[in-house]
Amino acid sequence: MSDEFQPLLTSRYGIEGSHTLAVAEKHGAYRTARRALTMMSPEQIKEEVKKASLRGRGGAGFPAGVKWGFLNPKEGEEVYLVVNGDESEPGTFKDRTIMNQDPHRLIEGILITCWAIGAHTAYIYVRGELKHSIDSLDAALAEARTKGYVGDRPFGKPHPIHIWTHSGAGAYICGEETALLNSLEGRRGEPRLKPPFPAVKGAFGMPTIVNNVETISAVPDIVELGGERWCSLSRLAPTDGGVRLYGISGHVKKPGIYEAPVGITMRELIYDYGGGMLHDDHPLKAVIPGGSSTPVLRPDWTVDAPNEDHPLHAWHGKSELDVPMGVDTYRALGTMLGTCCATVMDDTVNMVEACRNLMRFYRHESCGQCTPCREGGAWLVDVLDGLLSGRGKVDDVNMLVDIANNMMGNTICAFGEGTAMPLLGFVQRFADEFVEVAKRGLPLDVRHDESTRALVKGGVAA
Amino acid sequence: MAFALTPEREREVEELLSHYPNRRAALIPVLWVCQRQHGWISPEVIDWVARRLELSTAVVKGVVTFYTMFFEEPVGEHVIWVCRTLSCDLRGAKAIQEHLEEKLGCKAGHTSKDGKFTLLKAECLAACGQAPMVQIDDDYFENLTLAKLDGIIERFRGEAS
Amino acid sequence: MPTFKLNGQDIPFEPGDTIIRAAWRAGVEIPHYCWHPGLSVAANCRMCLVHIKSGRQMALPVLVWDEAKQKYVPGTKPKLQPACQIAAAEGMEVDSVGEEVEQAHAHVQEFLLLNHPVDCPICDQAGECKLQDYYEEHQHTLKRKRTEPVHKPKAVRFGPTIVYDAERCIMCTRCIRFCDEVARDHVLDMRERGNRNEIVLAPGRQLDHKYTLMTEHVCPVGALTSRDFRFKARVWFLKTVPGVCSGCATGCTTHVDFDPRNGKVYRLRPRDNEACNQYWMCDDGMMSYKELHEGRVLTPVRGRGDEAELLLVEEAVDAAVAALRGVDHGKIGVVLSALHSNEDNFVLARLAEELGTDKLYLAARDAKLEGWEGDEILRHADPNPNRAGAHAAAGRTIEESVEDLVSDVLAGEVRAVIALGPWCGERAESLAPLAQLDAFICLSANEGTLPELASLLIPAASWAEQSGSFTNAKGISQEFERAVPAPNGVLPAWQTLVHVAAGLGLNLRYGRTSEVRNHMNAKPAASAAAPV
Repeated sequence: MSDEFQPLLTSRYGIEGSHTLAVAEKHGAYRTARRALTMMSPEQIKEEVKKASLRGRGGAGFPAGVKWGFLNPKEGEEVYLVVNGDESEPGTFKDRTIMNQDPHRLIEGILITCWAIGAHTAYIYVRGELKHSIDSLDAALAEARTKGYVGDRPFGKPHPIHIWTHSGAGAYICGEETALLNSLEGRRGEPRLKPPFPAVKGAFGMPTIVNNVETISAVPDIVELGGERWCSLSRLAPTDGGVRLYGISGHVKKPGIYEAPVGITMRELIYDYGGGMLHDDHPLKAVIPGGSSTPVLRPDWTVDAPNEDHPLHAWHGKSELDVPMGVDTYRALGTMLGTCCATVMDDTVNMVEACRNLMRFYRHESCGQCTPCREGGAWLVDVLDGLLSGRGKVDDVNMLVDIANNMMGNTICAFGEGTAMPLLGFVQRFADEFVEVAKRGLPLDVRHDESTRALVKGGVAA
Repeated sequence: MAFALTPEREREVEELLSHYPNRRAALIPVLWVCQRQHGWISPEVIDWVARRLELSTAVVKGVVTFYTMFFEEPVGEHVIWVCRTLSCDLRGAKAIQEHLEEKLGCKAGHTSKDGKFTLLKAECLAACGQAPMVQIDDDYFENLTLAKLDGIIERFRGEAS
Repeated sequence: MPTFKLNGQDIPFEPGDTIIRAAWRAGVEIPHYCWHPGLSVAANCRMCLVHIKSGRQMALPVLVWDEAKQKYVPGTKPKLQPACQIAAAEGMEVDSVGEEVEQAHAHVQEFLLLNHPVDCPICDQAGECKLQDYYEEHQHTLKRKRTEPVHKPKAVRFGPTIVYDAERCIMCTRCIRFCDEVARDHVLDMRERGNRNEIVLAPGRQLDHKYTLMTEHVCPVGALTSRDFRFKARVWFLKTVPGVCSGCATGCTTHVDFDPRNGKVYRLRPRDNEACNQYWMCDDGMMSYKELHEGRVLTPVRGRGDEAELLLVEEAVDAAVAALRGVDHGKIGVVLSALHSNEDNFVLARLAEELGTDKLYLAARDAKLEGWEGDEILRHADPNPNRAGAHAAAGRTIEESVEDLVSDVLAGEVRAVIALGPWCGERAESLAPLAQLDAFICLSANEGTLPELASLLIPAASWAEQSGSFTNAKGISQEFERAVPAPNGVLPAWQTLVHVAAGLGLNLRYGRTSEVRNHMNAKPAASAAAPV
């Protein structure tokens, strides 16, 4: 952990009343927005964001600057900005901290972004469960409107910007940007067919940019520091820039959200930021790196990249934990960075059971629109239930792979892959355990809350 | 009985409608307003919302049933959602659920006999770093132990109905 | 026309065509459930996945079994695309066969059957079910899911015409899209999500618009069944001929499904027709086959009321000749019918010509009287299938209605009548004077106001019992074929008219329908579409 690291995204976290405009402003809020709207052109801002190599923080890691560049509104079309605060990916809990503790940072980011992309209306779509985040944003927006920062002339600029929160009502799939747009429009949260992409035809049929809460919240810092400087804060500059929020949960001593440069290693995240394994006598068995859709890693697996051209050649032979956490590095590793929120599992966890837990999640959250996801996802749970209950066969493991292989890529949206990829990851990295469970079922005394049950029952909060 | 919003909530609906370029977009927020008043989305609510927003009742029904937080049946005075997804489950969520089932005398998916609590299993509530946790109505209760949970439930029980 | 390659074969396409539409037009089927040429693209069934070999290739990570290492290792497979969603492009190379594509088809098919009840023996869709057909064609594996299938509501009555079985439903949403996009009534939607979802009726509503049977028609499986057709027949016993709906002046083209073993027509289905009804029909049109078996005139009747006597079919012609003999031919009123075929009308008009009478009238159903309402979709304001054809047969627009006939009878201008039945646009009470005529010959397939008044009623073959044609309001003449034999040796009206003419010593010689048609088409006045 770097001592000289200056928090940016979390700079106002922990300050008494940080969610109020007065306190936030005292600590720098809206300074950049005022400068951006009054002294910078949209092109200048877009250029800085492009230079920043800000990779989308919602999970896919698409460069935000490039996404903005897709906008090309036709005569008479209104551009919308939609902020994705539907944070629901298991293991992910970062955006909520921004919305609760520093809503003005997000609003400031929205103001700058709206100016940059020519939008007059922004919606912040927040999952319905996060009532407090919605209330926090609404209160902050009310203050910002009173001040005139949000409204017809933000900072005196004749460029009206209206910002509204929009509450979801319980559906993970609404984090998928086109499902989110449907939900915003009062429809079932079923992903749309693409193309057209939102930048061409998004909210209300108009060109729309959908960005994650953290992505937009990074915009003020980028504009403040300059894209290049912000980018260089990353250990993976220039392709994957800046700083980001890391989350860690599961079997660690200090679960939580930490801000750090892009490109720290999983080892650092677990042992430095997360305080190490929860129990010293229960070592790390597996870690899901960035939300449940990202294939699991295991510390005893090493990087296999003998070829000098391989992007991970520098880490050849080292543990998977020692690869810097970046969008591209993790893809090369055969997993995904996702939302950069890790779920840590110690040696008491049975991987088949952990896998089933996540597959149940996907069964519950599939929108049911297209066949492979609707039927395949539920079937995976069915097969896993069979294995764990001892009714399975070794060949069922092959069947799991076959089902998941045939969900991959065959669905309307990425949810199908989001279900299949982690399943395939679990089987690939823990095949022996799957075969073992197929032969004998899961021993009754093995539960994946083995190492924490006493903490919960004994009244000692971790 | 026909459903209608209180004048105050009706103003809320008017305000919501001003946020969007069309009426339909206000559907989910308006359903929220109705559920906060009525407790659940009854057939009368569906009818009212459809007329208010000039939509087919089929649209409203389709949307209500898609989202887990809209209740198609009456629920208890308080709704407890126990997060059972991985990060919480790794930190003892099963024990939390079992404890609540015992304490409330009803299985997950049901309402306690006194009508005070409806106990539901939830998928990830985005509080993984504070696991295990439950959501009761609009509030999150995090880093739970059974003892902490007992205190929370007693507080809810103690309040005047 | 630009082309692309599908499995190596050149397929022409029009700009904007998707791969599946261009292939469909070229007669090449890419397997599909949710796609329908007349509905928007949903791309939800994923059965039409194809491999687009040209252009940028995307590889997807999968696991493959490494025999040497005896473990699963990362591999890739090509990204497939739904043929219903991707626009055809010049030079594009597409495969809808090949190992990867077929594997995708097989798995989608398996997914769809995972929870599907195998109740084919009692399912009305059996024999024309895509799940059955594609199982044979694209899956052919044993059932691998060993646990209880998901259970959902069955035999849900959606309305007066349609029953829904959620367990059989594959959620293709064709029925929802049909109601939205064609019937313009959002009465269906989907409820729940994941594999618990099902089609749901709008609360407070029934599926009761004018096109409900089309929801069953577009359903590719046995989820929606027609209450009329349910449990009545096994489709593999049914034969089909092309038909034209007799319900209104739109002239929707149909498939007439009948059982040759008992000579019964069981249902109509729309026959694709870009120029007319596209892919659809209304409920009234779909149910119009009922008139083939209900209220039929099967036996000639001479005389009215208590004096009525039944004749043999062979005796009817002689009775007609006898009735007309001695009447001044110029005073014979001839009533063409907007309900009868071009052939019937043409021969009757020719008979009038041979008789030397210019007293032509047109009998047509009256929309108001019948409670018929047209719409902007398919239903024409005129509930008659062949008004234009009747005018064309006469070589002019027949302004005179049956009401005028009544006036002419009262004025003594008309002494005898030959009419095609059964309906006219007047109320029975205003037609009373016709009942006084000694010679009122009516040829009709069904009972109705005109047959009621006849002094001689001669049964005629229905439209399903003869080949013929109707000319719709747009002036398009469309032919239909004989499906079933007429009962009791009953003849098409025009044939009876030919025999009557012969009995009267007139020159009206037609033996076959083709002869009538040849003559009809040769007469310029008759072939031109008359104004409606």
